[in-house]
Amino acid sequence: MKKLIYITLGLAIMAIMPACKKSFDDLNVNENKPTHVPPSLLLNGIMNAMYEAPSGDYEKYSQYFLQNYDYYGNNRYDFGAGSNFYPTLKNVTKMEEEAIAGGATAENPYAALANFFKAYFYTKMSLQIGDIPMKEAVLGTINLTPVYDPQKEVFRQAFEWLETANTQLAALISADDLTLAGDIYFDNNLARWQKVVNAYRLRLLIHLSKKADDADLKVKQQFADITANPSRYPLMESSSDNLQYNYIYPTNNYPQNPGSFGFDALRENTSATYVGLLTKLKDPRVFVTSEPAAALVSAGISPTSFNAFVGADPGEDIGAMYIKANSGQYSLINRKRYYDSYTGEPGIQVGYPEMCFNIAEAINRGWISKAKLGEAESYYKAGLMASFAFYDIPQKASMPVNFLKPGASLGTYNTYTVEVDLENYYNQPLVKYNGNNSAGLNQVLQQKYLALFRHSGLESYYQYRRTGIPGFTTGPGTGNSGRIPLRFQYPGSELSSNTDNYNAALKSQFGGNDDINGKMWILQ
Amino acid sequence: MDIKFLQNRLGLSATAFQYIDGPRILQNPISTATGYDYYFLNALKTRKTGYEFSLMGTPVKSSGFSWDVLVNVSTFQDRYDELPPGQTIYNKYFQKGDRVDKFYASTFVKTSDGQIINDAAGKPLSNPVSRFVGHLNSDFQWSVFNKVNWKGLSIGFQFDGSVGGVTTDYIRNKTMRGGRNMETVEGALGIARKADHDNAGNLNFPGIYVGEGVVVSNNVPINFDSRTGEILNYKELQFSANTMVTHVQDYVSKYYNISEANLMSKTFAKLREVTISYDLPSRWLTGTFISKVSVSVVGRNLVYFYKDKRFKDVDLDQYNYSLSGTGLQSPTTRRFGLNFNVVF
Repeated sequence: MKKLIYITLGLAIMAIMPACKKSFDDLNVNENKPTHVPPSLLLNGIMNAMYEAPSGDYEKYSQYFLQNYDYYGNNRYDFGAGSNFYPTLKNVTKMEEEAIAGGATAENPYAALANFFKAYFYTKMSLQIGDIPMKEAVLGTINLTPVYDPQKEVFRQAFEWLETANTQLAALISADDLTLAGDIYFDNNLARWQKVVNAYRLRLLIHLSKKADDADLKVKQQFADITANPSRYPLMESSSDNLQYNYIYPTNNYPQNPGSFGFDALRENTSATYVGLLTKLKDPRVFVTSEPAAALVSAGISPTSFNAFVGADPGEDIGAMYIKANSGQYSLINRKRYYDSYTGEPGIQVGYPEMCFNIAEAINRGWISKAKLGEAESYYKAGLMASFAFYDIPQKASMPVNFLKPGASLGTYNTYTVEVDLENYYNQPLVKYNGNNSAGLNQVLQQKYLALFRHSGLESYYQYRRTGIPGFTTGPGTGNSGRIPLRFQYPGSELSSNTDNYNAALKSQFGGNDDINGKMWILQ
Repeated sequence: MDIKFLQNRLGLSATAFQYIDGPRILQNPISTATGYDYYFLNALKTRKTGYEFSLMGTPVKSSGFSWDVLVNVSTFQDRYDELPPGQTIYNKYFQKGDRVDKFYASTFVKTSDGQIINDAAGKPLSNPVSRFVGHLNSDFQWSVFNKVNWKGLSIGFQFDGSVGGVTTDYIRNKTMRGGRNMETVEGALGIARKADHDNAGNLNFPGIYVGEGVVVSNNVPINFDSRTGEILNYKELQFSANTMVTHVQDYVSKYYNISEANLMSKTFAKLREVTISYDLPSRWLTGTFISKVSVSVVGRNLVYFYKDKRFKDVDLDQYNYSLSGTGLQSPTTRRFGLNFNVVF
């Protein structure tokens, strides 16, 4: 009897014992860590990752302004590894998945924007580096050694993504879809995103100006299709359509602000490539973005004269530049505009002025004969006027300008007035559109360079790389034996961890050397 | 292995060891195109091989006088034994069998006969690729201990040091670039610095300092191999002596920003300890309740030997391991002690 009780008891204990089938991984799940997030949170992160702020190396590479004190930096074009947007692209894919998991249909605004982001980030990396992994990328441990896709394929795929994004956005807009959330740029307004998608596509097509006759990419055809059909491919209509990053105090400060004034303000001066072009064209923007050289003003030159504005030659040896900058021989960037507040000016990523100049370039090159606003000159002028408006320069009036009082601390300015007449400005032979010839193209590209001051990351550098306009100068200060390099390098981990594909990509493009002077496909 | 000869007058001890470290939990960098920067995996083995020899001897031993010597030499090397699966290169520079303490750092660009190549402004060029400049661990370490006894008096002293290996002098980098190093006011630099100072504010004064080395005289741009830093088109380059004058501040800031300029040998020697002790003759103590009295004087860290006086301020004893740069340090202090020992 006793035995039976024991057996029964034993069986009962075995029955109530939990089955030990949980694996090590199951037991180590962190319940506090979310496994799903709303797609809007991911969208927010992606949008914060996509903007290029001013005041970094990119501005020096675009020869807008320069450092003059070697201890803290220099103006050398020592290009290292290009940008790594793959972690962001991983979130783009995740965002698409989370939107579907949250109950959205296949056609949802996150999916549409994901197509744009993919095109945006892959082309950004490819423009810097050349061939990059794309089709086999962002697969985590599923593929640790992704193959590189040719640059041409990256662009072909990007155009496909942008076409899809445009179509999807159009459908969502007409269905009045309001499910997008977390958009810091356009407050979830899809119609404005659609304009960005198409404006960005025009930018990419312009980047391919050396491949305009490529049979597969049909660059001219695409450009014509977009500009000829505004209802299907809406484009930006004014600067209010700009994709721009607005700085907010105290969480997202402008890189230059009262806090960095003491450290940076005298160690950076403007470049002759930028200021020299402005003064050559007698352009009033120089009064807004720069300050007269202190030594020239104290030598008697009027602070509102173009002669008082002098930038340093980027190629100048930095030691020599330091001496001259410190004795006030060079213009500094305007400290009222760029240091006086924590919000500075918005950082334009894809802007209306640039789009206008891109269309003007396409007309000049004969890709199309005209677009919505008219011929090349209309777009050239529209871009020019939009840039003036960005700096609050009036059409015809007296404009107050502020320069920091010499030797004074931030907040004490000398105010002068400058007479502005944009019609007179435009009618100068150097500025007035010369027609669809190389002089006209030169004007378009120069004005685009001036409009992109502090904006859109490396766009001005890419323009120089592609067209040689405006002329960049080199010397001991810019390094690389007096050459402007043509590309960034692959990340260091590629050599160790993706060796075969890395070597194959270098061999097919640059003779096996990860050379910053190598010519990538779009430049050939 | 321990061997003793001649009634323990001569002894030899030898040790050899080898052990394999790993596979460790490795944070392995992977292709960024995967969307991730690192992959944690069990991989990477290193093999450490080392030897140590000790020689103990008593060359002289007579009644009232003896001399004991202990000589010790030790060395080890750590090498990559197994790289993460699928990789033939690890951490950009390393292959299987390479020492793990190979030091890659920024270097000057030099001609085949070792002259520094400058840019058109007469400032030294820095190689865009980090290059091998030496091993961070020393080749071997040694010590010698002597003890001489003569009646009640004994004197012992210990020399030790290490040979080989390199590191960079951080303080030198900062003091040269910041103008706080003695050398910036000595010699040619000092004269030029004074001239810069006297001409401060004079825009037409280009400086008088002329840096060492050469410049490329035929305007051919230099092409570098992205992996090794070799000049690919060396044959096309022609050189002439550098004659460009510069200001001191900018020159030293560039020159000493290159690791090679601050590279220092890790070879040093130290008189680490001297002990003099005297036992009072026991006959003086007979009849007292004291059985033994000894007095000794000890001095530690007495003399530091370093060949290149420019780096003598670094106390290498504190960087006795694989380290790419020195840091702020308190020097090891010289200490003296007096011991008075009474046994009842």
